[in-house]
Amino acid sequence: MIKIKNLSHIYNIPRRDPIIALKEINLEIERGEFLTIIGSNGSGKSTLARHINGLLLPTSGDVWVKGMNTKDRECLWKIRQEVGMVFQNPDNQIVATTVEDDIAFGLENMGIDRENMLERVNWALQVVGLEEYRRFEPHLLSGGQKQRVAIAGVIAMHPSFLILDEPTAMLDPRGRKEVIEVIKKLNQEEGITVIFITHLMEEVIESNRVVVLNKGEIALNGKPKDIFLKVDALRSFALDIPQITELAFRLNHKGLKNISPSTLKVEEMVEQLCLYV
Amino acid sequence: MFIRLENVNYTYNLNMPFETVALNNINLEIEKGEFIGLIGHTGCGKTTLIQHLNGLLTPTSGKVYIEGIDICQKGVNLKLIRQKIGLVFQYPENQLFEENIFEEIAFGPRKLGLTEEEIKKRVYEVLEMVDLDVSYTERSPFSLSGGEMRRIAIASILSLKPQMLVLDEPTANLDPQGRSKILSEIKNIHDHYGITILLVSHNMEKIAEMVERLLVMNKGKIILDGSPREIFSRHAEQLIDIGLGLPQVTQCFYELKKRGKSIKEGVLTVEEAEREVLKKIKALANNLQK
Repeated sequence: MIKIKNLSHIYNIPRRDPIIALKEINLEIERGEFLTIIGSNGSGKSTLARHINGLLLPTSGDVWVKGMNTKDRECLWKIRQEVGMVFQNPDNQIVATTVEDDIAFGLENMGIDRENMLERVNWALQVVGLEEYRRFEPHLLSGGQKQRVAIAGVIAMHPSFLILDEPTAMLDPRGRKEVIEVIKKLNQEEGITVIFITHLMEEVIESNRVVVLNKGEIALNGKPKDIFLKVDALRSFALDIPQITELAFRLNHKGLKNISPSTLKVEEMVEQLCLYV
Repeated sequence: MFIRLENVNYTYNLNMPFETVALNNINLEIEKGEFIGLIGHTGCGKTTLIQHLNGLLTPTSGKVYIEGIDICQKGVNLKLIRQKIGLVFQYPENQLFEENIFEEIAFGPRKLGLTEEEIKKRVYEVLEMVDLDVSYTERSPFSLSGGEMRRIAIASILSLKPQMLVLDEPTANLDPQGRSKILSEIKNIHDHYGITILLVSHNMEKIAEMVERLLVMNKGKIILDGSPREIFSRHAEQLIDIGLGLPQVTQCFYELKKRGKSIKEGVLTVEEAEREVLKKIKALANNLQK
């Protein structure tokens, strides 16, 4: 479990005014959850993520991972093994010359024996669906595939929690789909707790819970269905409403009460519209 | 005709182990003043195609004409072509390098050998075109937000007074606010300054609303060329087949039609969809009364 209590973070940049990136955040993340953190640029999403594995330390407040405080230097390495992190740009995360070497990199640093390492690499390759690419040079892969290599490298270390900081932002729609599918699978089949960060509303649909950040504070916290009901609030946080949700919202307001204003998927909308037209 | 591509083929690593055909017999004509969108999967040849428009790449075979001149022949002034057709690459903010924004934008005009007076005039002009304040000139380009940096990069290309602006994924990686801002500026640059625009994008919803003409590429070929409405209504199936899909509301109406509902096809915006549904319900109610 992850527990965040009264967490604030202030960036002190020399010769500039301090920036308050996080203000009194309180959040608990349970095992097995698929939590999405959404917010526009500058809302504090990435800052929050970096607190969960101790890349940043609180200006005030505390963060505990499985009871270990990130301020406790003794625990830092243990925490980072428990909380794996995948970043936005796949090119910045790949270090080795072949896919399998790249996935093994973290394991080598952990001093895992060869047999165990092979087993873990094979498992990770299979989970992200890249078995036939194991001997490829990473630069020959597509963006979506590279991002899956980065994910494989992290899960090979068997973390309990996986944080993904806008892993789809630099990908095309096909790459996006691939990555989302893998994340879903990791959560549902492998039982990894997922903390997924995005600024795209379309991508929150698969998660159990959504936290909306606005200007460093938690503005909304709830199930996707309930969050999507708050179209006006979301818009005021500079978030985009998917076309379908916007259409459902408008039609509902025009008196079409059988159309739920929190419709998220095209198929749902089609079903509901069939009642009317 | 402003731009004409005739049977253009391009192969990367020709005669090498990793030989890849990127463009396969492209024929394309672009008139002055058009506002064109270009969509397709990563690796379908979009970026390769736009690099042919100002001679950054020369075709393996085929011809590229700009205002009637074959730009691949010897002795063509490519500098002039590149001034006429400005290319804004992906993540153009990575190309910023000067210490303040005035110098950043002035770099191009200075290379053209303009006087300080003229340079100053151009810098102020293009800042206005991308809706940034004159006060910005003193600031470092690296102190800006991602969206603003990108607008500065666009401004520095506009400072060469191009007749056409080609933008490769200008909204990639921006949040919704930054994205709308850039797109509305691009529209403004087209509508008010008459600059021809070619916009490469993955954002089907936005591109459907904005452009007058849409090109769809797949595996090195231009497979569709027409108005967004035409393409999304008549070729919906094909777009789904190649995995590009449709804007959400377009897809919703397409599915309704497939279920035998008599409803308009090729709906592009939420407003239009709302109108169509309400119209349809009213018509059904009227029929019932009769």
